[in-house]
Amino acid sequence: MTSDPDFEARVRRQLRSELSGLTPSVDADAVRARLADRPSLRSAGIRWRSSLPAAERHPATRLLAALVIAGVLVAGTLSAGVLIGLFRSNAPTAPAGQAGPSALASTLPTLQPTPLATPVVPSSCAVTRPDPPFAAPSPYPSQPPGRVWYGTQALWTMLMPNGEVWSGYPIGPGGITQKTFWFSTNWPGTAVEPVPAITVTGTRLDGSGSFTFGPGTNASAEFGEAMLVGIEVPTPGCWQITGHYAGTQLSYVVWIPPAANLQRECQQVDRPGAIDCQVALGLAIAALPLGDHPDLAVFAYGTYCGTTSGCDLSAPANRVDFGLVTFSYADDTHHEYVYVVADRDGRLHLGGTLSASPPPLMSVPTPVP
Amino acid sequence: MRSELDAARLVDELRAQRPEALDALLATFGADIERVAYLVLHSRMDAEEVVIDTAMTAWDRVGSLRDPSALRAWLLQVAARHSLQRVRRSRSVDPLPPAAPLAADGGDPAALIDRFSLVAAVAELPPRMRAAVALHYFADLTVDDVATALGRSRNTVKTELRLALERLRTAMTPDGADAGRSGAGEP
Repeated sequence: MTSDPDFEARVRRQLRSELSGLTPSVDADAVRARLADRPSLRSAGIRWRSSLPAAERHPATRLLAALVIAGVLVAGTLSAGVLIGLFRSNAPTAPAGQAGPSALASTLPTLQPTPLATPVVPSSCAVTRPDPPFAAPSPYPSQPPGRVWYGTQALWTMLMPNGEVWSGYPIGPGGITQKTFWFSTNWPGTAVEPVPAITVTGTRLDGSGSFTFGPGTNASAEFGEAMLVGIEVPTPGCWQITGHYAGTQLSYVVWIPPAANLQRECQQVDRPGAIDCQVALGLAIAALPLGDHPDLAVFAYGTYCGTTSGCDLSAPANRVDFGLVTFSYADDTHHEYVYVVADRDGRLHLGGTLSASPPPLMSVPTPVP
Repeated sequence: MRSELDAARLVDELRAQRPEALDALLATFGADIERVAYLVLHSRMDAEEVVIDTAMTAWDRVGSLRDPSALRAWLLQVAARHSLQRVRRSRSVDPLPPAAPLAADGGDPAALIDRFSLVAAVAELPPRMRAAVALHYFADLTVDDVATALGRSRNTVKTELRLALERLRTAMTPDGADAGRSGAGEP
């Protein structure tokens, strides 16, 4: 086949035209959130594995290690991973003494947090700023790397020095996933209580919502052991998180900014009854006054197909949004977000465009000769 | 000249790991990165992940970039590689069916349309060919730069681009769309 400059030029031109409406949607905060945690996570995993005696690297241990590391790496958006990465879960078969306090305290992490910008916290949300921080008892360091202790000897945790803000976290079935770490001189440690009887509750302060998770599991870092409780926060907002252990409670307030990617994690399959994206998108497009000129072309970046309202399945209806849909007419191109409405039973209803007013193309009601 | 100076400054700031450099990076190159990734992945969500992956790679490895004026090409090469990695990883996952191209047909919401979209046609190409098309025809990278991105020889890339054009031409020919699309395979 010979070269065809005209056709190549057409390909270049048309690709740019069709993609012109795909505007950048990633902000630097998302990148910074991941960068803030990743080095600690990765190196912590490597240090942990390399510290294991060869005889202890049996399949179960390796599997556990792989799960921890994979989880950490795959969930790269866990900005609290600075903490997570410093810890590992202790298998019940872990060699005695491996996590001994003196040995752990002798190899404190040297990683430093990257000075990154954090989301703005509304003044209405009084996030907890430990001042002064709690000084943890030996063998724990006076302060954890990149964080500060908060609480008392009976129960303490680690917080961000300037206020706890959880952003960029993965979305699980129950909401925004996070791991919380707790410490207590009353906790006898992994060897005696590998499944600590700790619970973590959450109460939304700027709206309704609550949760309870527990019991915990155990985790250890190079500087000591911790009780670990994984939680799922149902919605963004201002939340009070409370740990309950051995008759002691410790609370702190965290701000969870509305995440741009929250919605996209809520796929249409979360709705009762499967929503057929193809049908739904067709329905949305059919509702638009497109006209039917022969040169009209419709292209859908229909990859979102996600419900709004944070997949509130109890709502009577959710809007089902779609990504960018490009309508081109001759040399004129317009881009729109379109939507339909899905009711609680999964039935679809006519939607429309998210624009305040349709672009000129869509106002052409009849074919143009 | 100005853009070269800007690129040099941006590279310096990335090397110094100044957090605000990421804002400039995404403002300047984010759109191209996302569009290249979209052409390879045909998924907006995945393309956004590639943007993040690419920015993180830039943060880590911009020191290996000897010529700051080549920053754009380097970023897009990185984006293409991340995209292809994501394609490989996703093969064990059942993806949502792509929703393009679609259109209303006489008001029947379920009806697919036969309107043509070049982006949709590119999506039918094998992944590496998509990457070559994205980098060369959309992002204007040279064949040599594309070859570097894909880890292939210059001649191999030229061949892939030629085959890609053949397929796209077939798909863009009236009555040829079906043949062009059903004939696309995955290497």
